[in-house]
Amino acid sequence: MVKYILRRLLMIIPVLLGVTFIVFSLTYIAPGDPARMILPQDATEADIAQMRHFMGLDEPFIKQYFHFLFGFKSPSDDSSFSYKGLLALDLGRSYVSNRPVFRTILERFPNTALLSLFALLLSVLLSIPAGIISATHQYSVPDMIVSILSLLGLSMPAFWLGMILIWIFSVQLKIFPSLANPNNLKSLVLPVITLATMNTAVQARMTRSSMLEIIRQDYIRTARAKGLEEKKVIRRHALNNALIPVVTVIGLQVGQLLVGAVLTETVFSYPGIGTIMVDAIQRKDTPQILASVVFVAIVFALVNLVVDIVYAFIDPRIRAQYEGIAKIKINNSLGKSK
Amino acid sequence: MESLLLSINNLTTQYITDNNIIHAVNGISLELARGGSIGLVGESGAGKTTTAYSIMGLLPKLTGKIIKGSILFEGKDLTLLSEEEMRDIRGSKISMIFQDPMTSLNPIITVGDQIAEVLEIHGTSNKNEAQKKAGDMLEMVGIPRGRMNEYPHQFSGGMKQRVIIAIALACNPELLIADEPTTALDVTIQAQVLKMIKELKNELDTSLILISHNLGVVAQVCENVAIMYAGRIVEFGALRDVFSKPLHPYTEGLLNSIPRIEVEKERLIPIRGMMPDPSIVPSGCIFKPRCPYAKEECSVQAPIVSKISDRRVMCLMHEGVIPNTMGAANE
Repeated sequence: MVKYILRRLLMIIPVLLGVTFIVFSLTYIAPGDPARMILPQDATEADIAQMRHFMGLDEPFIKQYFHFLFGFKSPSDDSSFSYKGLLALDLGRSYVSNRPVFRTILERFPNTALLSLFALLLSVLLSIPAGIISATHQYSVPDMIVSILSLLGLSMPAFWLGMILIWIFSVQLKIFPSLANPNNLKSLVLPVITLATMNTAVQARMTRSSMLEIIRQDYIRTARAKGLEEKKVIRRHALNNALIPVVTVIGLQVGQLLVGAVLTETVFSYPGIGTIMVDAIQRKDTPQILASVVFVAIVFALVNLVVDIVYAFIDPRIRAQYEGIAKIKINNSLGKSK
Repeated sequence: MESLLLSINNLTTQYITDNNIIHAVNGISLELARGGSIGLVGESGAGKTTTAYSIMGLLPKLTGKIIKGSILFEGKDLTLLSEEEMRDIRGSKISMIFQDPMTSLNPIITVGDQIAEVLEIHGTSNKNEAQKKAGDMLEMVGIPRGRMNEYPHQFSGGMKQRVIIAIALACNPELLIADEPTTALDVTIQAQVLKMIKELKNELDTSLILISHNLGVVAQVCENVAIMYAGRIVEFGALRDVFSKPLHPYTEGLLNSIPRIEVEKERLIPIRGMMPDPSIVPSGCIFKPRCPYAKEECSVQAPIVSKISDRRVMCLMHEGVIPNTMGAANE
């Protein structure tokens, strides 16, 4: 198991390299010149060219990408353009605030994490029981209610839902504030609902369909033939099996939460990663954009690593696969050493 | 003195959907003596499994319904019991072995726990005791106790079926229903599993209903045989009698379609045609369209159960309505 976790950690590296390359290419291709944006309006072309040189922006694409990975030493005296590279978790300073980009991210990430965690909790607590009831009482009134609500939840984009919630609960009813901040739990209610709605809908549908499939399995019939109470049949025999695909979806949903945070945080002016990204993109603050995207990618990859480990705990067949791989590897290496 | 363990009277079970009624079991009657064994034989869709589910109370909740008839088990009518009362009987007094061992065990629970579970449901309150007994059961079906903590995917098909047998017999049931227990297994394993069922049945003095489409399988284990066709028992009798002198044309057809090593034949004789659509209630004899001896009367008059010594058959030839040409051809 430890070996498996280590191997999965190593596998994250190529994924992240791919992500960084794509993100770097996108910011490279995107129009707008950071040098021009940093300098005052009346800067001459020569000033701009020199600034580009200081920032390393006049180098060829591949070389800039290597700078991005392994660090860049600015030819100017101003050390604020130098950085140690992604591998040292240093992508330099923001062009706008002149603060180290990762520091800003690490300061703000707990806010996003808090929001996402609440949203995840809410969606899991609502969706899994709803999915189970829906599946075990197929075609009943509760099933129909769950189905309709989840369709509704799926069809509402987060930014729209956020604005509607603000309009109803902040503007009309004045129950919750429209601006959210992490120190005021009450202000988090609306953004958490906004974030959780889509996830709840997706997970409820997933739980329902997975559960419906499992309760038709032969081993459920075996459990009933043992004389087991229907509730226990569901809890002991159906639920764990049905949750395997749901766990996958929840893992992917975390990515969705981080993306959703961009929209939700913007709507509620919440100081998280999402607002950093939006600000950075608007100002073409390349180091900040790169750092944020890479950071989100790392979080996403780690969450899915956790998901894969959870799998192995739920399902002995998956566990056996990894142990099997390990055994084959050991056997191979033994074979070679002979 | 044999006493009756199970007595099914005029059992009629239907699957009712929005736009259709499937007449799965149509008024069957069957008696099983304590310690006895019956083979239930028929094609797919003859109603064998529905009969088993009716006894177990495992019919699909929304669609499956026992319309009439009774199932007397130890004098109690199972069709009148509540779900709770049925639960006490399932797994302890009546157990069932299912067709496909590959999918009949929960993939994420160890086999030991799956056996122990049935013991815990039915009275063994002590966890350790249940685990110990589960180990005993595994050994009884020929699997080392040391494999208790393994998962179903670590077992072969034949071994999984042994585990399922261990689950079924753990509470020492009065009645074991084995629904095609060997169909999904290869031939050598089939023989082993059948032998084990037979031995354990004798050892534990359990009564047995063995469901199969294979007369050969039934012949190895059972004393009596009931031939089912389209939800009816068309012939019932002692295995030896039925095999040596079938009374119903369908039984004869089944026997003719078994290859025999001592008879040289170019080709086996199949029963022509297909089983009728179970959602349509025909007039006359249900087997008439496929019967080589059928006469005009067969499409008008439905046969009733005729008793011939200790055998039973549903055919107009034995009611004297039409001449018995089958017996003439046989003798």
